[in-house]
Amino acid sequence: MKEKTAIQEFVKGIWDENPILVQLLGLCPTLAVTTAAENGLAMGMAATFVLLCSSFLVSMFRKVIPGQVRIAAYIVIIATFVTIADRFLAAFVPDISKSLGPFIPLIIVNCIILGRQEAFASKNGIGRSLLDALGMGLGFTLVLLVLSSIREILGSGTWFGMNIMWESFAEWGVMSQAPGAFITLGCLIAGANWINARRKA
Amino acid sequence: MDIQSILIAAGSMGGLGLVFATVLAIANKKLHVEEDPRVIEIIDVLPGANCGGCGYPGCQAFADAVVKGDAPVGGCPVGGSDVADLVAKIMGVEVKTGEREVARCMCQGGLKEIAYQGEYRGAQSCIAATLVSGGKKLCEFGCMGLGDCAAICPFGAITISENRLPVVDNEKCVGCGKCVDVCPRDLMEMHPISYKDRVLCKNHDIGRYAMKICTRSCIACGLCEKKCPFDAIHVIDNLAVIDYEKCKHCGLCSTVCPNEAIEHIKKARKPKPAPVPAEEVEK
Amino acid sequence: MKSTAKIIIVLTLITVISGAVLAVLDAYTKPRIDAYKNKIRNEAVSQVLPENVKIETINKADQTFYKASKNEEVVGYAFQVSGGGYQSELVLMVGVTADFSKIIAAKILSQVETPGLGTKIENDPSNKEDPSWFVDQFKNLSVAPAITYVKNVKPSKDNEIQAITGATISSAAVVSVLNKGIEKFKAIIQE
Repeated sequence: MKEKTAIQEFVKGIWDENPILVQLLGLCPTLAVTTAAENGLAMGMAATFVLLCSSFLVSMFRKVIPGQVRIAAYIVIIATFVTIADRFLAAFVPDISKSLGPFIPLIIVNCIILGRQEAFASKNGIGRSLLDALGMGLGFTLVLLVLSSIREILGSGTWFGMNIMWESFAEWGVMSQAPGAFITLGCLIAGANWINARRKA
Repeated sequence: MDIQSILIAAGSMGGLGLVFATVLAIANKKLHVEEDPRVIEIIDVLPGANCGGCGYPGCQAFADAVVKGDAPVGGCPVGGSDVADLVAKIMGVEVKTGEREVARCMCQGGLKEIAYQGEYRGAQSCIAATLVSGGKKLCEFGCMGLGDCAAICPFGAITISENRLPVVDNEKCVGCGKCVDVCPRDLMEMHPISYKDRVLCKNHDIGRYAMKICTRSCIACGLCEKKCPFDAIHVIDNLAVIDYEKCKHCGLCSTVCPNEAIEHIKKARKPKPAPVPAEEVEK
Repeated sequence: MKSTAKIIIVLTLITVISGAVLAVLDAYTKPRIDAYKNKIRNEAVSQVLPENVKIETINKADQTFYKASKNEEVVGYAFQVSGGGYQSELVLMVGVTADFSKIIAAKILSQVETPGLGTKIENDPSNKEDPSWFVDQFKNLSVAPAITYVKNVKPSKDNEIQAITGATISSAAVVSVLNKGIEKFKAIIQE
């Protein structure tokens, strides 16, 4: 049980303990909003914002919050930041807010965020908690971006709304629907496991 | 900005918080489960890998068992003596660590010692090789050297030498026993660290054949059996087996083995006594 | 006792702070969000009514509608209609002529239909020249008798539109939402 260095604390969320590919947490938004790269990126960034802010507060007050009400306290903190994110998106980028629909408020119950508070921020200092949150958030965002890019390119022939496929390209309708999300996510997880197995060998 | 709306929002949220906090506080008092605070303290000092090396489903279960008195304070093989000391302190008992067990590969048939049956080009895993031909080496009891034990070891204690044999780092090995479970040929064994004498061969072939395929095999000649002053080593089914109940680790058997199949570690490590709770010490 | 007090104080404090922060946030973002909603609605209203008209907002029988007039003469009404689609609620803005005989234009405000199929009611990327061909069909469409739809053939009558292949239910839902909504507002406005 070696102490992790600060860098490792940050990097682990991106690959070794990636919230989606390894921990399989927060799959609801992962599957639901990744129909377009723009949505995936916005969702990832909103979740990262909430994760960073809540980790900061939770780790700052970890000694003050009594154990019996910690979950209630975390949820209130998380819900506050999610509402902030939701209102800001609605006020400044209404189009994205509209297409993410109810999934922004659902960040409140995203396992990644509550999970990191329980497992990490409540036991570690502010600096480390922020690094952990940033790493996890970045890992989440990256996977969402990749997933939504694949789905948008194959499902609609566009990437960030730009036409990038050739003229006669036929859209894979299934990719922009729920089964496409599952198939793509399955392939990504398989790919990550394959790479890990190769690296180990 | 409208102060009133802020007050309303803060007041309604605060009211909710107050109500729920009161409910929780009452629940906390009325429904309080007398959980031994020591359980939490023990969990905090355990490594938290939930490896199951102690025989319990995880660190929490082990901590429960320690508090109940079902498990010894030094029962965490991973944490070793450091953790045992901390757990002992929490439990308020004076304890010295039990005899530490480490893994050992019971085969010396590396690339240099053994005859080959052909080239193995399949998946580089002992389990996979067992399913097809049994790997490159001819001995069907010996180590295939493909490193499943090294791969599964959570603590990086096993390395595969250039001679294609697993080498256990006794400092890193915590005795979790994962390599014992994974080896398809049951070559990894857990032995107390104080053991000096071992038969490092598992070949049950008749002597003539065993001699042909490996220069370090037990050929069931029986010299060790005759030499042993304590009747502690016997050839059973073409293989010398040490009875550790009787063995005094004198090393005489290893001096007569023509194939050097028996090892005798010269420098003895000081065996440590098993954990004894303080009350019993006082008695 | 100490821990009980601590639980209550900490949780209450957190909720109070949270409530205050959110109220401030609301005060700060509400104007922008409302402005955006108004902009969208006003745009939609002006899109479904003829150009260069004076638009008045009228509230009657708990419903809001918009009256368009030119030189003191009423030329049309616009109102928001909604109803169930294939898997979501469809919200449309529709403009009709003053005598409720024709739709001037319709616009879809919100829908969450099956991506790639039902969503074609708003935006059909497979039709590169005219992705909004479906709603555009409602322009100058006769609503007396009620609108009907046909499949796979070009509409032949004044009150017909062509349904989207693969999204018949969504297409039919748009038609039925419009028919019912126009009926309802006709009753209210001509009362």
